[in-house]
Amino acid sequence: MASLEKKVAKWKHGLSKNPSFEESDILEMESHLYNLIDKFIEEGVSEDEAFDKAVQKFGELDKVGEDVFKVRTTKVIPKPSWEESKWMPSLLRNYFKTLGRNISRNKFYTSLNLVGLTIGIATCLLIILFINDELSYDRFHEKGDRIYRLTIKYETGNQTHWAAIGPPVVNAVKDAIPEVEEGVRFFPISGNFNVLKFENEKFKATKGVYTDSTFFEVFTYPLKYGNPETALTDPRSVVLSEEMAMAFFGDENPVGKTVYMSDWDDFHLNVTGVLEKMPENTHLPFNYLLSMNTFMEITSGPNWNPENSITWAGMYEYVLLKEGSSVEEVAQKLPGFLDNFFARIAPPDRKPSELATMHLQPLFDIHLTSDLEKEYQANSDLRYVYIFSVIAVFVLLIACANFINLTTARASNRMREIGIRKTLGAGRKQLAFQFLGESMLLSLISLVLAYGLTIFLLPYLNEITVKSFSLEFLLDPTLVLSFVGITLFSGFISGIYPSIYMSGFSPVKVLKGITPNSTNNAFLRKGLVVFQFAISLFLIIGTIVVYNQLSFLRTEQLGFDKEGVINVPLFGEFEDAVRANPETVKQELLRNPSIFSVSVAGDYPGKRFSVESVLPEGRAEDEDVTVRIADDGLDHDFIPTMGVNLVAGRNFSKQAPTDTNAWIINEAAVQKLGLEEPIGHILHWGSYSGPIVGVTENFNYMSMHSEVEALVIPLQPRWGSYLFVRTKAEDVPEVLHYIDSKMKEFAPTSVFEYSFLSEEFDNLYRSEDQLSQVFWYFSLVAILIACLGLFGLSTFIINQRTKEIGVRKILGASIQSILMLVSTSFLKLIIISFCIAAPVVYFVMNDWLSSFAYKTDMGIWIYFLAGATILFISFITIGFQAMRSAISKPVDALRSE
Amino acid sequence: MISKSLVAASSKPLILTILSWGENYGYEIIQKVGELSGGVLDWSDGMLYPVLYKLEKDGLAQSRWEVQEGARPRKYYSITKKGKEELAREKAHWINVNDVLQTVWNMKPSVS
Repeated sequence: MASLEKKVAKWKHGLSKNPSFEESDILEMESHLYNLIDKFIEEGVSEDEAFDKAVQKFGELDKVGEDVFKVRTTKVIPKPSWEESKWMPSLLRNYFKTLGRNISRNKFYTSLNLVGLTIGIATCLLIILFINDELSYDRFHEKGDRIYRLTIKYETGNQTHWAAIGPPVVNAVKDAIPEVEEGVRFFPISGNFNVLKFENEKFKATKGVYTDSTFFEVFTYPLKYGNPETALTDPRSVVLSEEMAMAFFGDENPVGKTVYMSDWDDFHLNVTGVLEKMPENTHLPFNYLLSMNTFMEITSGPNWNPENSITWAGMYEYVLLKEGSSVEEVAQKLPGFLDNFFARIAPPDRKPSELATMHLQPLFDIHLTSDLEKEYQANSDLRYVYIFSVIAVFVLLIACANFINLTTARASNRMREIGIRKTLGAGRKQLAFQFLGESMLLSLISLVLAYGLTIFLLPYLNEITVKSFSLEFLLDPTLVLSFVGITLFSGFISGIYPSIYMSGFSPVKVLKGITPNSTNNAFLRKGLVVFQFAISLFLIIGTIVVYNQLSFLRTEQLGFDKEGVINVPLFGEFEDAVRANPETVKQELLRNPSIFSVSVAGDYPGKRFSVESVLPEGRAEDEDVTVRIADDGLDHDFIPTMGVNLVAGRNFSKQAPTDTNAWIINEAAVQKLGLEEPIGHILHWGSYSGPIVGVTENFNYMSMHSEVEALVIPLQPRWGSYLFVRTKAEDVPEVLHYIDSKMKEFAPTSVFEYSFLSEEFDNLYRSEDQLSQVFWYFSLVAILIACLGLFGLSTFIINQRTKEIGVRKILGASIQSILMLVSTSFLKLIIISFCIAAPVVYFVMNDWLSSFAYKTDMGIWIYFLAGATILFISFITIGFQAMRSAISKPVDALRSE
Repeated sequence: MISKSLVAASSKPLILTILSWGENYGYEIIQKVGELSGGVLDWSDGMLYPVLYKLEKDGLAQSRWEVQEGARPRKYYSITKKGKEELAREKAHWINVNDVLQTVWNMKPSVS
């Protein structure tokens, strides 16, 4: 009987192990089992057999338990909680728990890692935004891959390659080459801006262009109002941007309304369309379009017809090739076209295709690669895209190096965990995945933080790049994908080595407390610190070189005086007044004693001067010389107003009547023209022929990327579109007020606009300025991240050596010697990184400097300055912790065991 | 052998019916099921309990413990008012199903 009770008790125990059953259930079932046993015994079997039969009759306990659970649970999908882990990768929850504990126990090191990664990723995000924008230029044109710009390069003289080309060319190309589906011309309205008038209200209108009726067929600009097929057909048709239409007419549809060009009061324009909001990322930005027929109506006359001026590099012309046609084949037909089309202006013994070549520039390449003569606007440079990408990668790698260093250095803190996991059956792969997963998860957290940081930094990016990025850009799906990709990649890079290293620990050793052999590890750690500081040094030296060169460009003797010159663009009524009586206006302004000199001119230093051929007297017709020419209307007072020095001869004189056809040239021109006695020599330029009266110094009228080129200045006092006023810097506010009031006397309705010559000139170096700022910010970021890592690493290493330091102090070590002890190992690394960075930066920056004709040299002091900066910063970083350990009481360090 | 799902479906009306004859406890109930079905419905005894707990939880049956000197404690189940109503409904459903099946099986195939 005792054995039966034992068996039943054992059966009962099986029930009580199942959490589904309550106490009373077990009691009830036990009673049931006994009833069954009694019955079987009554039937005449032995006790043992009766028990077995009863148990069998009662059925499988697990199955009963599961059904009971289902009856009692409130869950929608009944699944016992103790079985849940079967459905998940079994340890995932535990991994998260461990990670959470690790983070909360090591807030200091975790936050160092997170901050470093966050800054690194945020930097990448900003750079990707920038690069993505640069690469997106003109991509919105649906037929963009078939659009090419026609350019022409003269193979003689200066070999100038022009972005613009003669007006009749594109249509002739279209007629001659069957692969060309359509052509369109683009001609910016000259002058600074225009004033459009509607019902006595005036609006300043900038960036207007004349273009052909085929414009909408070639380029993708949807119209909000109007018919794209006819909008630009008739003369005096104007298509406005959405913003302009809004300013003029508010919300209503303006098609059919009339506006006036206030330059010509009787000149009306019919509004034929309104563009939808236009993308900003184009190399051809504009605000309103006038039909090309308007241009032809204005300019064509008995003396000149633009449609016949085949050599005038005036218009930007684009062809749309037919679908499936090959651009190479079209390009092969261009020399033949040149020979035909330019035959009548070529010298009899030369073929036009020997004198010039025509080129097809792909639309998508213009913004990043084109730097031709007379570009529509200064384009960007592919080099900067490369530089920025490289910097982004570097900054990210510095952050990853931090992560690797801190994680491997602190691996010993997780020895126990690794030992236990391995003892309990975790494989190396499983552990490696755990650690890799941790770093990936941390990097994803950094991505979220980096988004926040990027949103905060976006306005600064816009300031540096002069673009307008909005938050929407950060949500673009492809960009988000690439951000996540980069983040996971950096998580992978950061995590792969530590995870392989840590998962390789032998459980027996680590549980005994033996630190794994880490010679390789220390070597790697040192290598990474060297790498980080080499990059930081590179960026610091780069920053100094760029800054140095920039300030050199700004302060170098230009040969003219750019300070204190006010630049007043002429337009509308005031322009008419100045053109009518320039001397009256000038005299009136000169009555103010603060104004030294006033000039009306169309060219000024900083503007790109035109290129023409001139012929010195006594040479054969074909011995003409290509030079820069200031042919946009300079008057008598230009030379003194700009403060240009004459080295021979004199300035143009109002008293000398023969000066109406005179020249002033610079020293470079004297050389290029090969004149021994320049003063008095006659120079021919079309119908303008006269003597050279003066020779100027080689003043820098162009950017200092290039040597000063030969320049000739004809006298054309009535053409200028700017008024230049020289004054003293401190009188500028008063003088501005004075000019404004005088202008109102001559032209009551005109608007006063002005800029400073020095600003215009500095604009030449905008991209260098951008580069300098970018270098500056990135070297800050790189140093910051590298120092974060150094700080963490030194803190850790000093903590490990606490006891050693305590013992040394007891034995009489001084604070200085302890400081030296902990700093030297790091300082050594920094010196090594200096030795690596210095030669690399020397080659790279020298290459950059070689793009300037006038440049500073990279003095030794730059290296010393950069080296000292890094040493100083890292000494402060390490010193904080080193000092703390050096001055701590040795007893605190030693009693802790 | 009757399929599992049919056994499960019929268990509720069957047990409610047995309970409607009077208060009873687990072992006796399963004995009755065995006798009445003549072995057609062959349950393992344990499977009765989830059904009973379900009836109790849904308020169709209630239970009480009876502890007597010298005997094993027994948990007696009895049908509630709600249980009787439910039984009536179940009965109607089963008869309906039965009728439908009868009709179908008595039909002669025709090609009209």
